[in-house]
Amino acid sequence: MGLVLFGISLLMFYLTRGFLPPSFALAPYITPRMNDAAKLALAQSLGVATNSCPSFQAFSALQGGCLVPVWAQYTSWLTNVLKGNWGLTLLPGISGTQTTVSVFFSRFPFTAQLAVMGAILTIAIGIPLGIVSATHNNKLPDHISRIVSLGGYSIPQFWFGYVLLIIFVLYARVGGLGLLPGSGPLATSCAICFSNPGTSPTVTGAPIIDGIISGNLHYAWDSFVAMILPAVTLSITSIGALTRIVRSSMLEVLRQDYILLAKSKGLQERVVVYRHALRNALLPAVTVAGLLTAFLFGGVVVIEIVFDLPGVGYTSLQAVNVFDINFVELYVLVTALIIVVTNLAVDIIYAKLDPRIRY
Amino acid sequence: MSETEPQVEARRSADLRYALHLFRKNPLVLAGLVLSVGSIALALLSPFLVNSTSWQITHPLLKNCWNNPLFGWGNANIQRCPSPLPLGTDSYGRNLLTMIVLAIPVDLQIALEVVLSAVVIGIVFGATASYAGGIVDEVILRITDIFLAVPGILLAIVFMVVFGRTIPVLTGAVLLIWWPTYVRLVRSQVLSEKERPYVESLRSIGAGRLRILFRHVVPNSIYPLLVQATLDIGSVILTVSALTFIGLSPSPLLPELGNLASLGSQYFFTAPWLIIFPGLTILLISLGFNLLGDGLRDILDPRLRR
Amino acid sequence: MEVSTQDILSIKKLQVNFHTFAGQVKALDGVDLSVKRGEVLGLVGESGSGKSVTALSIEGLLPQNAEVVGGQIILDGKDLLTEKRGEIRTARLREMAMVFQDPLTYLNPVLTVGSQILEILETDRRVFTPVVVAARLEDLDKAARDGTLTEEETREKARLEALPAEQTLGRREFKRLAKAYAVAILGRVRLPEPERMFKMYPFELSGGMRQRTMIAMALVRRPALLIADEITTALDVTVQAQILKLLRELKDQIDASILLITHDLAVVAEICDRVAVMYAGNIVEVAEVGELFKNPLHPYTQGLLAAIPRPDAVRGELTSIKGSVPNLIYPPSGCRFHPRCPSAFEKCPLSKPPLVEARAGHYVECFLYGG
Repeated sequence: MGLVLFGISLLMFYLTRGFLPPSFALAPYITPRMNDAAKLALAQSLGVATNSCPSFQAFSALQGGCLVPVWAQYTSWLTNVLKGNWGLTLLPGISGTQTTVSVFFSRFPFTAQLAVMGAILTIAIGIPLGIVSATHNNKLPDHISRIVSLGGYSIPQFWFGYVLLIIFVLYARVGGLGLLPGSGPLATSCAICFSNPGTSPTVTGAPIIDGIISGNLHYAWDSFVAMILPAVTLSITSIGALTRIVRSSMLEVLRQDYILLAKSKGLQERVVVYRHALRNALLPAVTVAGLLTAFLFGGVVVIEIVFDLPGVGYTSLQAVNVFDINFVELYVLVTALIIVVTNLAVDIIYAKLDPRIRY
Repeated sequence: MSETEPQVEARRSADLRYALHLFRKNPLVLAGLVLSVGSIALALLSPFLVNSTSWQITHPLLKNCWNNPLFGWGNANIQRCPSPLPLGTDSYGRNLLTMIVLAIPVDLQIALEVVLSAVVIGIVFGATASYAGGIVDEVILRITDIFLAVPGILLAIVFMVVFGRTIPVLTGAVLLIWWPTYVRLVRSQVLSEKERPYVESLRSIGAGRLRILFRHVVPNSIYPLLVQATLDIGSVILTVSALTFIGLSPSPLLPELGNLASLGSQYFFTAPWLIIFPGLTILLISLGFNLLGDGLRDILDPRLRR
Repeated sequence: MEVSTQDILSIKKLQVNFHTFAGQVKALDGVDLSVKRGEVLGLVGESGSGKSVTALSIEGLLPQNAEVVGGQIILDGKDLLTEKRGEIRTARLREMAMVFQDPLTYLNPVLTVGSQILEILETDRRVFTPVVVAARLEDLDKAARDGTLTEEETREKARLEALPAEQTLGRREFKRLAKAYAVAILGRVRLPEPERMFKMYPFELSGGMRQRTMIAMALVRRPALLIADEITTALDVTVQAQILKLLRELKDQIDASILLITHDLAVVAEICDRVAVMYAGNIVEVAEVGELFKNPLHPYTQGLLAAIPRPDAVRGELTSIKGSVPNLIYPPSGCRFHPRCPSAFEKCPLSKPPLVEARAGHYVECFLYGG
C-alpha cells in the first residue's frame, strides 16, 4: 500500500517537474522586485538550482553544474513533505499567506461531506434497484431500472447538473422562488429552505455537521437542502454503474443450484432472495467500492465547478492553473489514501462475507 | 469434458446464429445500434452537410439568441434572433446546430483514438504480464494500481496543464486514464484462457509459447475486450467533454461538445439551449454506445445464454 | 391406473413442454406414475429421458421456459398443479422433500451447514413446534432415566410437558430447541461430531458428508414423499453404498415413501421395491424389482439389462441398443422407441401404446403385449 502511494507521488512529481524547464517552478514565486541574486536564492531554496551555481544567468541558460536532477528534487521534496512541510499556498488571492496544508484541510471536509452524501445515495438507490431488476427480470420494473441505470451511466455530469438547476430553480417555482437553491454553498433563497438560517461556527468544516453540533438546525437544514442537487448529480453515474453490477450479479446467483434447493425446502421467497441470493450476489458488487470511491472523488471537481461550491475540487483546478504543485500533490495523495483504505476495508468485508476466502 | 479446437469452432458458428437472433429480439440494443452508427454516419457526412470552416467566424451581433417557431422557453429574458434558427446561436453568434454537427466528428475521433490505443496497449502489456508472470507481472500490476488510485480527472488535468492544451495532448491525457483497465482485462482473460485444456494439448504437440499466445489465446479472449471497448467509447466522450467543459481546450471557438457547453455555462438562465443541446448530444452518443456494448455483452457472454 | 388411497403420489398423463430457441421440446409425453405409501420406487432411464423433469414438476420447480400442458400430479389427495403458489410452498415444506445430485453446488457456500437446516424449521414455527418439543422431551426423558437430569432441565421438562398442544413457542426458545433438534438430525444421518458439523461450511466437508447433510435437510421436515434425484451419481462407489444404506434405515424410521431417480440399475437392485423404466418422456415399464430383472418385457428394458457387462459372460462384444436418444423437438411418431426397437412392427409408428398389465403387478407400454 505504501508502495502505491509512493508511486503516485513520484508519478505526479515527475509529471509536473520533469518535463518543463526549471524556470516554471520558479514562476509562481517571483515578484517584480526580485533581483537576480534573489531569484537565484529562491531557486536554490526550492531545490531547483544547486548551491554551487554561480549566477542566475547560468541557471537560466541551463548550465550543467547549476541544475538539480529531478530525482534529487524529488527526494528533497519528499523529505520536506514527510516532515509536514508542504509549503505556502499559491492560490490567487491568498498566495503566500497560508500553508498548503491549512488551506487544503479547511476546505476538504466540505468536499468529503459531498462525497459521503453521494456515496450514501449510490448505495441506497443502486442496490435495491439492482435487486428489483433481477427479481423481476424482463418485466416492467426491470425495464425501468435498466433505463435509469443506463441513462445515469451515459449522462454527462455537468449537463445533468445544469438540467437539474434549470428544472428546480428556474421552472419549478413555488411562491416566486425556485424549489431548491441555486449555486452557492448555502441556501439563501429557495422554497423549502429557511431564508435566514444565520451562520454556524466552523467546527469540522462540513456545514451540515457544524449546524447540528452547534444547535443551529436551520443552518443544518439549509446546508443539507443546498447539497441535494449536487449530491444527486454526483451520484447519478455511480448509481447507474452499481445498479448494473448488482443486477447482473443477482441474475447470475439466482440461476445457481443452491437457489433451487432453497426453494425446494419450502422457504419463503423473501428469505430465498435476501438470505441466500443477496449474500452471494453482493460479493462482486462490494469489490467495485474502491473504483466507485475514485469515481466520486474525481467527480466532485466538476460538480463543485458547476454548482460553485467552496470545496477542495474547485480549488484544485485553480491550483493547477497557477502551478501550485504542492496542493495538487496533497489532493491526489489524500484521495489515493482514501481509495487505498477503502480497498482494504473492502477486502476485509469480503473475507467476512465469503468463508471460503479465509482459507 | 474438454473440447477440441474444431468442436470449439463449430459451436461458435452455431452461437453466432443464436446471437443474431437475440440481437433482433432486443429493442434496446437496436436503439443503441441506431444511435451509435447514426452518430458515426453523421460524423462522416458532416463535411458535406455544413461548411467545415464556419466555426472560425464569429457574429457578435447574433450572440445568444433563439428563434424556433416550434417552441420557446417561457422566459421573458430570451433574446430573439432576426431569422428562424433550429437551435439558436451560441455566444459567438454561430448557428448552434451547425456547431454541434461539426463537433460530433471531433469527439468521436478522439474517443476512437483513445479506445483503440488503450486496446493495443492493453493487449501488449496485458498479454506480456500474464504470460511472462513473475516479477514482470508484479511490476506491471503495481503500475496499473498506481494509475487506478488517482482520480482520473485530476491526472488528465495535470497532464494537460504541463503539456499544453491541444487535441493530441487531450487524447493522451484521457488515454492515461484508460489504459490500466485494459491491461488488467487482457491479463485476466489470458490468465484464465491459459488454463484451458486446449492450451495444454497444443503445448504437448510442441507449439511455441508465442505462437500459442497470439494465434490462439488472444483471439479467444477478444470478446470481453470488444464489449469493454464499445462501452468505453461512450465513457471516453463523457470524460473528454468534462475536461473541455472546465476549460482545457485549445481554443474557445473549437467545435467540441464540451467546449460548446462551457460557453453557455454563464448564461444558463438566459440562454439554456447553449448547455442543453450540446449536452443532449453527448448523452445520446454515449447512450448509443453503452446500449450497444451492453447488448454485445449479453449476446457474447456464453453463460448468459439460455 | 387408478388412484388408490394406497398411493402417496399419483401422476397421470403428465405432459410438459420446453420452449427453446430451437423449437418446442416435448419432454414429458403423458407420464403415468404412482408411488405407493411406504415403498421405494425406482425411476430409471438414460440422461434426457425426463426423469429430472418429472421430479421438478412434482416440486413445481420447473424453469421459466417450461410449460405443463396437461395432466395431474396428485400428492396425498391434492392436485399440485391446481394449487396456488403459497400452498405449493407449504407442500414443499411439509409434505415432500427433494435431495439433489451434486451437493457441492446445491448447498449455499456462504452459509453454515447448520443454519441451512435451521432455516427450514424457522420457516414455520407453528408447525414445527411439536416436532421440536417432542425431540427435546425425548432427550430429557433419556437423561431422566440415566439419572443425569439437572435441576434446570427438570424444570424445563415439566414446562414443556405442560405445554398445550396448539401452542407455538416463542422465537428464542424455539431457536434453541430447533438447533438441538437439527444437531440430533445431523447425528441421525451418521455425521461424526454433529455439534461441530453444525457450524461448518459446505466446502469444508467431503462429498459424502455433504450428501448426508442434504438428506438431513429432507429428514428434518418428515416428508411423506422423499424424491432422490441421482443422489449417488456424484459419489464414490463405497460412499454410494453407505448413503443407500442410510436411506433405507431412515425410510422406516420416518415412515416416508421414496421416489429414487437413477440411471444406475445396480442402485435400483440395491434398495428399490418397485421399478419404473422411463424412455424419451414416457413410462415404458413398471414392475417389482425382482420381477423386472427376471422378466423384462419391454424391448428397451431388455436392451438395458443386456447391455450390462457381465464378468462371467462368454467372451463377445458388448451389446448396446442401436441408434441414439431421439430428438424431442421432433420425436418419433407413435411409440417413441420404435426406431430403435428390434421387435417393431407396423402398429408401432401409428400411435402411442397404452399402459397394460401384462402380468400381475407388471405393466408395459408396448403393442407386443396388447393395446
